[in-house]
Amino acid sequence: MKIFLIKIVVFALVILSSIAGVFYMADGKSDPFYKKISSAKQSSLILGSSRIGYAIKPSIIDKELGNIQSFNYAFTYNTSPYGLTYLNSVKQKLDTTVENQVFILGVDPWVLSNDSQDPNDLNMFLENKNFLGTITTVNSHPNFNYLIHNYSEPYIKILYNRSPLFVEDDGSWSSSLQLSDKYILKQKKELIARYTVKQEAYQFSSLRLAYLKQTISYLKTYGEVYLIRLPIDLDLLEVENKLMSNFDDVLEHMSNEMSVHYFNFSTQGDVFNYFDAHHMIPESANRLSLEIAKRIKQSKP
Amino acid sequence: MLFNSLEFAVFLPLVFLLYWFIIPKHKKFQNALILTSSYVFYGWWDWRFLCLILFSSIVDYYVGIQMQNTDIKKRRKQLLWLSVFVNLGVLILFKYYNFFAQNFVDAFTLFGKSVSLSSLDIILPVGISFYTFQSLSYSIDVYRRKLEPTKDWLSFLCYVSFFPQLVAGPIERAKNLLPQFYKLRKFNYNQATDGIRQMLWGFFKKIVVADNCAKYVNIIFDSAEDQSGSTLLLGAVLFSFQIYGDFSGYSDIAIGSAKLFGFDFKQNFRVPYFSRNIAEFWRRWHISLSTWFRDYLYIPLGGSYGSKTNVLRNIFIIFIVSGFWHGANWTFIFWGFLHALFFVPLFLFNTNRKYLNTVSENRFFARPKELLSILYTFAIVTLAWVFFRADNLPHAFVYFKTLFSPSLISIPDFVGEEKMLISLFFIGILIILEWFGRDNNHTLESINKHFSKPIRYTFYYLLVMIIFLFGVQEQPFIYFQF
Repeated sequence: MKIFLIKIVVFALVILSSIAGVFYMADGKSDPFYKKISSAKQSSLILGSSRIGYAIKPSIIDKELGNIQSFNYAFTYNTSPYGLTYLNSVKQKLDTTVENQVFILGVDPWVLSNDSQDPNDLNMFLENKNFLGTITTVNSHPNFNYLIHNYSEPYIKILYNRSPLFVEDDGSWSSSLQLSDKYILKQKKELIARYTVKQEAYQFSSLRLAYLKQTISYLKTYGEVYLIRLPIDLDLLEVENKLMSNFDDVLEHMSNEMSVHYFNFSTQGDVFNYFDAHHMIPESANRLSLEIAKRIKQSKP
Repeated sequence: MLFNSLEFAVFLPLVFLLYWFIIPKHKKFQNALILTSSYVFYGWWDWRFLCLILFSSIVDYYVGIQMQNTDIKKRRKQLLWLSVFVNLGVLILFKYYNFFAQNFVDAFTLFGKSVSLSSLDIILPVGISFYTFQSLSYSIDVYRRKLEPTKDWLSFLCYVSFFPQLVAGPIERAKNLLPQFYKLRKFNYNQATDGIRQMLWGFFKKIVVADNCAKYVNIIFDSAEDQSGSTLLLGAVLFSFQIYGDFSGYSDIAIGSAKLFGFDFKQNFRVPYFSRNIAEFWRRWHISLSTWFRDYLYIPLGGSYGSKTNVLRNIFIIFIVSGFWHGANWTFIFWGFLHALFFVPLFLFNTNRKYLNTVSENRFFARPKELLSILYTFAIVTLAWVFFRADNLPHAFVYFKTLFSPSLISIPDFVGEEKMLISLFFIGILIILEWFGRDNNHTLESINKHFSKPIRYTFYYLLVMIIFLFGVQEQPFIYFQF
């Protein structure tokens, strides 16, 4: 019995050490989120959905503005629409010891909507059950909680991942993917079709808007807040305008009320290029990031 | 609680330590711990359904005691029927009621009459088909005087609910398992290490082989009408390995876990895909169920004795009922029917007991003729699995229609994908290792005899790391739904 136990314990220790070793190797190539929720606390957070994740490059913002070190903490529509889950996560992630931070918050109708029957029922918010709503920390590496319960790929992907998508050190997504025009057009058509269906199920949520306000109030304690509506393909813009035709009015009203800037780039959809209809390719993302940084610079007193 | 879950990874060592180190070394304490942990194991899924297990156990325990107290044949028969009524009643209510109700309504609609029967909005309790059959076999054996009824209620409750085999078998006979609860279990090093090895192989089959195949199987079956014939063939082959890895993997983990507590279960799978005909396949696939139906249905019906017509009838009954046992769907019935059709020629030409030994015994490779027989058997079993996996009969027919279209002669989709190559690679590893371990009770059983310690431990280490690195997270076992 003793021999059995000793052997089992030693073997288990070797295995557990190997597993821990693999977990230590997890990085920005492991999956699209790991680096975001395993880096240390960050300042000058950039928030929003996957659109923001692709489109805003903190390194370019930092270079233009100087004196800040921003971090792209944007996820997806299912993970990070404005709500209690995202707000709590932001509170965990934000380094509150840094002063004069700059916060960029991506806004569009989707991050202020929900697909439940009552769009203001907090219990029905999809992100509650998603990883941001369930993990206990967003600042530890390895993030065992995330890797054990939420990592959706086989762990071999931590050691060997050929995916062209990866997370930069600044939290933004990059992709080395070279797509043909034909493929992009197909992606665009499929995405617009999907969002047209989605739009029928979604409704504006005043509760999400209230959480956006709460997020802004919280962040304003540590710096300046800028709201950005990103450019997207104009056909997709048409779809999301059906979801919330008065979106810009609502946002302008709110930004005045809360004394924050609202930059609306939505009409410049055809100036930038996308992998589909709203996820920007790196070259466009760099261009847009620079433009946003300049606008922020200009707006500063 | 799933075997491939973090909860089980904590539960099993905890129960193991309590069992061998903490509780007093007395069979009653051991049994009490087994019963408690089995109920926790089951209740983890839904504690409300524990009352069903308890109900079924109490009825059969009572039936056994009462049968012993009387020699009156009629009374004994009444008691047996009580057990049959309760066990099958529970099974029918929870598993088959909606199926029968729906078909009843459909049949009347076909003849232009409208009948309304409300369906029951109930969950199918996990493992119900397994523990009701296990409990029922006890009553039948006591009735046939093949088994002394037990007066040890704790042992009996343990027998019905022992956690390794509670939710997906093997369906253990009281004659084999119950006496093991009567004795104090003593730790046996060889038995425990063999159990760990068998569990390890079971986890490999389930988490690496079955779950990796599942991703493609789901895609291919869910969009059968849009796939090429060759892709559908690939989907069917992958499902063959998925269901084998899933179910035989579960059995290996169950048998291995039981060994850790000093119990021996019967073998449930004996490399069925190396069978040379369908009769041999059924002697090697889900053995505990096939022998259950043989002993409690086929033989009482007359078995292989009597006129050819009667035997043919018995063959069809046993295969169709066995198919229906898997689920309340015509697809399972058709699957069983198909296997009966495959079996009938063997019976008619008296070749159903031709292969009783292991294939290519004492040989490294199979003889060409044997290899062809194996491939042929695998092919027909694989085609029949399409019915097993399909959502309904029209789905299965669409699958076959597209499968046997000109697009069968084409390169299947997905073959170049990294994940597909990984799945095929591990299927290859499974086939090779199972071939070399085909004489054993489980694939890794005789690894001790052939390899030195360093090689063995390196192999175990690699196997665990493969399970960790290539495994897919917490996919439920297919047979849980049965």
